Order: sequence, then C-alpha cells, then structure tokens
Amino acid sequence: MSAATLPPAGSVLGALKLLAERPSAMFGLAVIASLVVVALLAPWIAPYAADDFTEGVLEPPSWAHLFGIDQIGRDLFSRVILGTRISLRIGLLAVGISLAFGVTLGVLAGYFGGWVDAAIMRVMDVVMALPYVLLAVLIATALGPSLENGIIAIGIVRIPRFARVARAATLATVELPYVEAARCIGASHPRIIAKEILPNILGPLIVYGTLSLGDAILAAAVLSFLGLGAQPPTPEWGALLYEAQKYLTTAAYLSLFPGLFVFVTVLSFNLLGDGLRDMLDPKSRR
Amino acid sequence: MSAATSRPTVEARNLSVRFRARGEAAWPWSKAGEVKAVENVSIAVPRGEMFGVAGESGCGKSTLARALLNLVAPSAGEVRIDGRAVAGMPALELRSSIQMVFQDPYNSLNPRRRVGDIVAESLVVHGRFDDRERAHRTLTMLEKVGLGAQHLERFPHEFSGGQRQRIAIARALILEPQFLVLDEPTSALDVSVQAMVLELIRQLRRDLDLGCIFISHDLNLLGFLTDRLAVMYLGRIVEMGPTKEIFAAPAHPYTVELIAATPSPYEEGREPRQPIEGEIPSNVNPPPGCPFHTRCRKRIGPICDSRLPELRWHEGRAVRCHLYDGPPAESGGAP
Amino acid sequence: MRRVLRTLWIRLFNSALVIAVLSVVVFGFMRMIPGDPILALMGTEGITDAKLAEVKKELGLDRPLYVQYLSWAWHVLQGDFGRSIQNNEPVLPMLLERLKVTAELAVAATILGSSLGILIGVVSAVRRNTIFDSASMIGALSGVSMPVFWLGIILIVGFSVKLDIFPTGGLVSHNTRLVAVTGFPLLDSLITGQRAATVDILKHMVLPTVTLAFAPAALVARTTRASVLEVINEDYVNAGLARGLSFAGVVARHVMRNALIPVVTIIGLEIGVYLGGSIVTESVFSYPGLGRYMMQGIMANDYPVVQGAIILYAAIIVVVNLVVDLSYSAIDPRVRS
Repeated sequence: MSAATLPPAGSVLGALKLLAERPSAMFGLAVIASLVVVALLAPWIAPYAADDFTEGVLEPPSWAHLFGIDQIGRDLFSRVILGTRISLRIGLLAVGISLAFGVTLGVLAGYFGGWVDAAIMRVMDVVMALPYVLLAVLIATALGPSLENGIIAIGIVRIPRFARVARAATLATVELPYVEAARCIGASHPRIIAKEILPNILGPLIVYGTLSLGDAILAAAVLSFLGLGAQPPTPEWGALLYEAQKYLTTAAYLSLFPGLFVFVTVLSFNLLGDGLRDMLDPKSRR
Repeated sequence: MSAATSRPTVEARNLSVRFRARGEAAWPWSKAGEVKAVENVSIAVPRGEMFGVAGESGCGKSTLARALLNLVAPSAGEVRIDGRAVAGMPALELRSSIQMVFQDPYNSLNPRRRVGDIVAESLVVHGRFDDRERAHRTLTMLEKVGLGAQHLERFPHEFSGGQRQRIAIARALILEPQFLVLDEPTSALDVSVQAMVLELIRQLRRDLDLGCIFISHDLNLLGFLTDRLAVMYLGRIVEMGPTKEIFAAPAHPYTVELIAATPSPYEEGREPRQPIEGEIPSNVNPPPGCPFHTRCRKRIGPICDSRLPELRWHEGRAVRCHLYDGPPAESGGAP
Repeated sequence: MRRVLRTLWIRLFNSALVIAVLSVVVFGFMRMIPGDPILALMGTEGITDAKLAEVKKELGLDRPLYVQYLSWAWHVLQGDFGRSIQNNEPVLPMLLERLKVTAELAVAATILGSSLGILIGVVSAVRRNTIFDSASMIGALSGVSMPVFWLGIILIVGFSVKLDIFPTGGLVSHNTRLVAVTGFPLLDSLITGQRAATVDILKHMVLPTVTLAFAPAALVARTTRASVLEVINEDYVNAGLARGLSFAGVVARHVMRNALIPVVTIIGLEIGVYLGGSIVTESVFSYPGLGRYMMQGIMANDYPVVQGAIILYAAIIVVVNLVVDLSYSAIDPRVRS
C-alpha cells in the first residue's frame, strides 16, 4: 500500500510548488529544461552544421571553437549541441517503448494475477537475469548496429523493470474498494484498467520514467561507444566519444565535452527523479 | 420459490464461498490452505425489506455481500434474483438489479475522477441515455442524497466521509436497482454523521421500495434499522428471524453474548460490557462440530464438539444449536 | 529443515529454467545477426558457393535451427561449448581463461567499491546533514550518473597521459612474462614469486578497478546511509547509549550488524552491475577479460564464443543471486517464514 500517489488531480502547480522545496530536484529540472530548449533550437544555436569543415584539424578549445575542432576539421561545439537533440530523442523513444510494453504487461500481471501473472513475470525474470548492458549489446548486435536498433534494444531491456513497477503499483491499487465499486456497477476489465487503475499508478511510473530517461541516454551512449549504436558521423554523444577514443593522448578535449554532456544530462534526470520520488512518497524522505 | 414471497426477491441458496489462502503467485500448482468464508448460507430478502446481517469481523458477512453481487464466485450453491440464477445473467442486467455501497468511503471513490463523473459512470457503462439526460439524472440523483450542482466538478478528497458515502449511494442508486447491499456503510463515519446517513438510507429505501441487505457488526444499529436479522459465525448463520423477537429473546448462545457485549446506545463510547471470551477460531481450520463450541458457555456435552447442529425452527426463528430440537429449517425462507 | 530444502530445490529449478530459456533466446538472437560468419572468416574474395556449403556442413550450420540448438545445448550440458569459428579452438577453456582475468578485476572492484561505499555511507548517516553528508551524497548520485567509459577515459587522460603514473591499458607490459599456474594472473605471479610481474599487474589494474568500482560504490553508499539511519533510531541503540557505551561503540556493535543486511544483499545483487560494467571497462582499457573477448566475438560473428560467454554470464549471476538470497534468509530469521 506504500505505492506513491500523486497529489490530487488538477494540481500541477501544487506539484511544482512541492518540488520547489527541493533545490537539487529544481536544479535537475532547470538543466533538463535548458537541454530541451537547446535541443529544439539546436540548428540555430550551433554555428556550424554537423558535417561542416572549418579551418584546421584537432585544434584545442578556443573562443572561435568553444569545444575545439575534431580530427577531420569539424566544430565539436556544434556537433555536441546537435547531439543534444539526438540523445533526448533516444531517451524519449526508448523509454516510450519500455513504458508501453512494460506498463501493459505489468498492469495485466497485477490486475489478473494467477497464471497470467506467473507467466508474464517469469519471462520478465529471464530477461532480468542478464545485466542490462549485456542484453542491450546482444539485442543491438542481433538487430544490426544502428541508432534505431540501439533505441529498440534499450527500450526492450528496460521493459521488465517497468513491468515490475507497474505490477507493484497495480497490486496496491486493484485491492482498493473503488476498483471493486467499478466492477460492481458492471464496468468491463478494459474500462476498469483505463479509468480506475492507470490514472492511479501514474505516480510511480512518472518517477521511474524520469530516472529511466537518464539511464536510457547513458545506455545509448554506451552502445554507440562500443560501436553498436549510432554510427559516425552521426553526432550522438556516445558516437562522438567512440570517434574521439583514438585521440586520447593527443586531443583529450574531444572526449571531455561529449562525456560531460552525457554525465550532466543523466545526473539531472536522476536528481529530478529522486526529488519526485521523495515528493510522492513522504516515507522515503529523510 | 416459496409461496410466502410473491414480491421480487434476492435469495442465496446453500451458498458457500471458499478461497485459496493467497500467497505469491510464484507456483501455480503449489497447494495452499482453503479459507471457508461462507458455508451453506440460505437467505431470502424480498423487495421493500431491510434485512440485517450481524457478526464479528471475519465471520464472512462481507464475503456473503460480495457473493450476492457475483463479485466473488460461489464454490457451491447459488444466488437468485427474482427466481433467476445470477451466475448466468448478463453482467449489465445483474448490475442494474442489485447494487452495493462499500464500507470505506475514503477508498471507494476514485481519487482522480470528479464526483459528477463517478456518479454518471454507472450510466455510461450501461450505455443508458445521451449526455444531456445523463447529466440531468446525475444531478437529480445527487440532489436526492442531499448534494447539489455545485459538487459535480469536485474531487472526492474535497468531501467529508459522510458526503462521500452519499456520493457512493448515489452511484449505486442511479441505476435504479431493486436491491441494495450495504456493507458497514457507516462504520467509518463519526457518530453524528452516522445518524444522518442512516436516515438517508431509511428514507431512500421507503421512497424507492428497495430490498436492503445491511451488514454490520453494530447490533444497536441493526436493532434500530432492520426488519429481520441473520447472525453469522465462522461463515454460517447461527440464528435468523425477526429483529424485534431476536432482541427480545435471543436463542443462540452466541447471539446472547453478542447482544450482551454491545454497549447500550445510552452509554455511548463506553467499552463493551462483557466481551465474548476466547479467540475467534481460524476459518481455514474451523473447529469440528458446532463452530461456536470453543467459546460457548452453554455447552451441553460431547455432541457440541463432534456434530454440526442443523438450523432448526425455534419460536419463530431459525437457530443452529444443539440446545433446540425443532423441525429443520434449511430452506432459509422467511419464517 | 525440509522446508528449507524444498525452497532450495524450487530456487534451483527456477534458476535452471531461467538459464534454459535464456539459452534459447541467445541462440535465436545470434542467428538473427546480419552477416555470415563464414564470409566474415574467409573474406568474400574468390569463394565459391560449393566451398561455402562445404564449410557450413563441416561446422554443422546446414542443419535446421532447432537441431543446431539441441545439439549445442546437449554439448553445453556436457561442458563442451563448441569451437570458435575464428580460430577453431575449444571455446570453454578460452572463456574460463578470460573469466579468471575478469574475476580478479571484479573482486578487486567489489572490495574497493563495497568498503568505500560502506565507509562513506556510515559516516554520512552518523553525521547526517553535515557538509560531509551532503557532499558525499551528491558525489554518490554523480557516481550513479557517471558514464563508466567516460570515467575510464578521464582517468586515462589524467593518470596515464598527463601524469604518466599508470599504464593506459592492457593486462601487463609487453616485456613482462607470465607463468600460468592457476590461470589467475595476479595469483600466479604471487605464487611463483615474480615480484616485478605482481607490481606490473597491479599497476595495470588500478584504473580499471577504480572505474568499475565507482558506480557500485555510490549505490552501496546510498543504501548503507539509508539503512543505518533506519536502525540508528531503534531502541537498542538508545539502550546501548544508556548503558554507557560510547556512540562509536554502539554504531560498531549494534548498528552495523543490523544495518548491513540490506547492504550485503545490494552488494550481492551488484554482481550484474560489475559484469555489465566490466564489458565496457575492459573495452576502454583493452583489458583481456571475458567482456572484451565477447565483444570481439560479436564483431566477428563468432556464435559459439558469444553464446558461451552469455551463458557463462547468466550462470554466474543466477548462482550468485541464489547464494545471496539463501544466505540472506540464513542471516535474518524474519525472512525465513
């Protein structure tokens, strides 16, 4: 019964106010908001296009080229800025996949229980038996290395986790009298799930989804870095790092900036997610 | 069925409900104990009657309520409404003839839906009327329970317990059922609010000619409210008959103790005077013989621990006790 | 006792089931991979269809999929993981050799990560809401958010390229000769008394170990802090203080024992994080462990190697989780019921 519940509906403003009490969460939110703005305006912010060649090769950071120039003469700042859009999109799409399938499976397992539950959760256990980097590597390999397949791999890997969160929240909700009341007036299973269960398990899902956005972006960078995700010359952050790896001794700045962006993005989603969780579940507050 | 009931009636015939004692769903084939929640219960409640079910928590009265609405499937026996078996009835038809009000008004309303939607939901699910007519009927129903148009757009958390129970009653009655099951509808409310909700229920029962099954552990309340009464213990009916007569001269030793343990309404808030001795036995492994023999002060001998007494007629009511040896009363119809 | 045995059997059966299903999945995935391993092996130049078919037949790749699977699974059960498509050597001995390298790295990282995490967690909890607490918890969250490979890169740039304290990667320097006894490089160098080799191996291990230990240390620190805070307010702590024990004494004697149960569980369950992290870490540091071997297998479409590596990973994780679960219920009697 300790499932986090959202504050009563219709109070997004109230939620923001509660969140404002947590500076670290607000910091995360602010960074994420700026990243979103950067992603939306990327083509206008970046001084060069992703594959524009400028003067010079492997130039360290300067005022003209804030993050330096890479091994074939491209402006790294522009590529990192353009990569923001790619990385955020990866996060959203991958988490979208996990959310869609994970919540469906988890809610069905929690709602119907019995053998449906046993069957679904056994499969989830199998998927969870592998470390998720390993599984993502495996799926991305099987599908063939590309940005899209990387997204699918990362999406699939997190399905069981979302299923668990959704199942736990559903189990806590399905026993509540208003669900029985809905059965009592004759509502069908799909209607009960849509109208009674889903709106009431949103809290934990939002928390977990926020934390997952950071993880998905991180995992995408790992895949690209291993050569299994986005392929150069795509300016995805992990792919930038993959390219920069060969120049560690001569041009470390090429590795520094894309990695910093991954780190700050993931950190911000974690800060926001932690803040949301504390806000929704006062018991975890310390 | 019987001649005594020419009016539409909801009846349970030899109804039993058993659950598997639930654990984790890890092993579908693993054995678990069985909870015998309701054992061989027969009642018949005609339209217009206020029928009470009394008993301590865990006696199966809530399960009986749910079985009457087919919210839990019976393990044996059946429920009939107006002579028709509930089990085979189309869901929506069943739902429009019998409805229920739940115990906990704080959890029986979805916190994320507006009151207007909660009440209208019944009509939407049943596909009755168009939007305008639904809105009209929702408002009329809310007014009947003492709420108004200003409440339509609010969320449940903005209401007091008593108001929420009114909303729950409106949700149940908007389908115009013949029967209403009330599962401890006032036990979560303050005493002052209780009285108003009870008065509302009485008045609605009269106006709508409802057959009500009122479930409660509070004998005072049942004594004041109901026409007939069934007392349950460990899933079985131990005494059933007109409320006034049972109160005047309780026959079953359990009923006697239950009434003795109830504080009189004039000494409000005081502890029960004589709590019943002993623990309620588990309904996974109920004691053999008469289920009450482990706590009974009037045991007459080994027969009590070995043979389950039948329900027998005794002074105008049915009693399940070896003290009495009237004719069998298993039919369960009104005496 | 019978109950415990029964639980044990059920868990074992469950674990076996997980691995069995996983083996099917892995086998299927490997066959989905675009690209032909034979072509990857021999090159596309000057190869006739007839020759291709012959090689396929030789490797058993011409049979129906399920026959291939069953035959593979049957052999795996007997300890035969097949032969590498790349160099035709038996897979299992090579996997085990690489696993030993990874194991030393993972053990070192576990020791470092757990002790550091517990230390930071306990001190943070005891000095709750001090600057140390805030700083270490921000640090811990950063640790969880830090891309492992980026951390590795930063460490290489700082400690290898700029300061030149540690080597950039590899297991040992080119001029170091290793004598194999057990197959565990560090252990072997200690057994045979090659001090120079020991020092060389340790130097190569430092950066990968720190990289690998960072995220788990952060998680352990967070768990320890929460768990100590949970326990620290309980009655027996106050009772201990009332009996005149010093605060540090109470923390050491009572708080730690009770608070560490969930921490131990987390450390046990972290094995997946270590193994997953080792794939990335070994890639960054060119460390010749199981993860890097598997990645090389993936790049070469070497089915038997990849299948074997994944089954091995899964088996290790399942077994460790089982042991953690069972020992957990042995430590804490409340879980047994």
